[in-house]
Amino acid sequence: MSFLRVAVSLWFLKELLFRWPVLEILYSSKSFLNIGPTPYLASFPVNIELLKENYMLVVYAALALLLLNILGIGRNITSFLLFLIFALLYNMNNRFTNAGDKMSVVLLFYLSFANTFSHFTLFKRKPLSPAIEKLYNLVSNLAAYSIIINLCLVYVVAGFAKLMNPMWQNGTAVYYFLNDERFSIFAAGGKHVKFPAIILYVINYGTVLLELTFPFLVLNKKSRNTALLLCLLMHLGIYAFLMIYGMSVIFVLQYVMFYSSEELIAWSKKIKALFAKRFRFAKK
Amino acid sequence: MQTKEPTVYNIAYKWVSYCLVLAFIYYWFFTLAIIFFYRPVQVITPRQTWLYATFLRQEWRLFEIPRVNNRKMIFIIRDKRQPAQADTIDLVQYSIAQKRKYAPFNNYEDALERLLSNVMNRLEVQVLEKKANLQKKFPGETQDFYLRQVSQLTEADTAQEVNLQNIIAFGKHILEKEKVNTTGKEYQLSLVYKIIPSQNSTAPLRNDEEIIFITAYRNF
Repeated sequence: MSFLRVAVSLWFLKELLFRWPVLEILYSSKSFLNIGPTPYLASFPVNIELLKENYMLVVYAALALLLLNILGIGRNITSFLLFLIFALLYNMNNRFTNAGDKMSVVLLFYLSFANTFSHFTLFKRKPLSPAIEKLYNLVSNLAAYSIIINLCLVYVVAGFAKLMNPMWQNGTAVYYFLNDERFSIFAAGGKHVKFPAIILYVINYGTVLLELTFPFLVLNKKSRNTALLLCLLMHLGIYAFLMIYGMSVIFVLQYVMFYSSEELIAWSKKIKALFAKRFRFAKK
Repeated sequence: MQTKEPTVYNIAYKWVSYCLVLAFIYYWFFTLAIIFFYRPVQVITPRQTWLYATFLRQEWRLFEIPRVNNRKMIFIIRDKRQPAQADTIDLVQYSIAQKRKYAPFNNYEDALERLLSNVMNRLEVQVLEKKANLQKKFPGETQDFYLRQVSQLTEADTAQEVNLQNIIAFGKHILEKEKVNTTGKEYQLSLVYKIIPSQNSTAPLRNDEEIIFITAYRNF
């Protein structure tokens, strides 16, 4: 969970910094585009015009909260404020956001209730009184379950939606995605993309099957690694061939939730040992 | 006294933890209801649905519908005095090319491309709705008739002109970026579908394009 807090915060930081030149177009009242906030935000008692005029203050506040969250300062309060500020930013203009952006805000919501401060913090956490600590653990566990349920649900609903679509049913959906100029790296400049039909069918039906069975496979210890590896391959495919970068990263980051802290620590020790062995010459 | 305090804590803990677990169960039932029965849930619990949509909105049906066509948004700029002198820029291709150029660190270009695509989607919905209405009202007319009528109606639709204005603003922004001189020039905008041939088609590749919306020439 600590890893997830830091990784998601770094991901947000990267997204924000790489979007920096476009922030004025997205949020400013001086933007050449006339794009209003979502109707939901309009129902809140916030002065949207004032927000748009001072959008950089919101962005700077988001940056400050991201840094605090990475260092674990302010703990759950910082995490919750971070969730609120990104929800606000994405509601000020949601016309450019993708599934990854939306999912990452929901992830911030769950993480803001979790105890993600056992590692990677600037200051060690003082234990609370036993009764409150017990409650905190309960809330933290429910937050962790929520992340897992959310991820499983996203895959299953996506699988069901595909199952209902005629193009996924007849096995041609992947072909059309590969010919979509907006996403496919193969369709650059209006090229017509053709792959052997058998490959497209395998990817098409394999994706639907994997998404539908994801919760069962991943909750079974025997099939967990295989399921996550297949999903990783699917996201690598989306990342490499469909130019959807942020979304793939945010999905894959959540896979750590299916492993215990002990397993992750053991892995990190193994990796450290491997590096130490390989780069022994660097030590004197 | 020493034994009473932990007991009070225990009871409080028990009840608070029951409430938390109940809230958790309710939240997930509500989420499931939102996913599968959005409209009825919105009618029954409008405030909760609104809160959920504001803060916890997600895309559940990922990659559900592939597009069967690519799109072009063609910006034609011509000299008012010599109309034969014209420049053409496809806003979609331009944005996609920029996005490709800087991939995978293309958040700026990707955001712009998504913005353009989103405003185009809105215009497209508006155009297709009007076309469907016209086809009901005047069945059996030529495609050219529908195109002209739809384009005129869309341009005259003041309630939704913001979509068209945004695309025009986008086009002007690109022209400015590319340092295209616009003095003494006028422009026209057209939305074109490029049909993707079917997967099993063995026929030689044709350039199947269909204009679905075209504006009259306008002054800069």
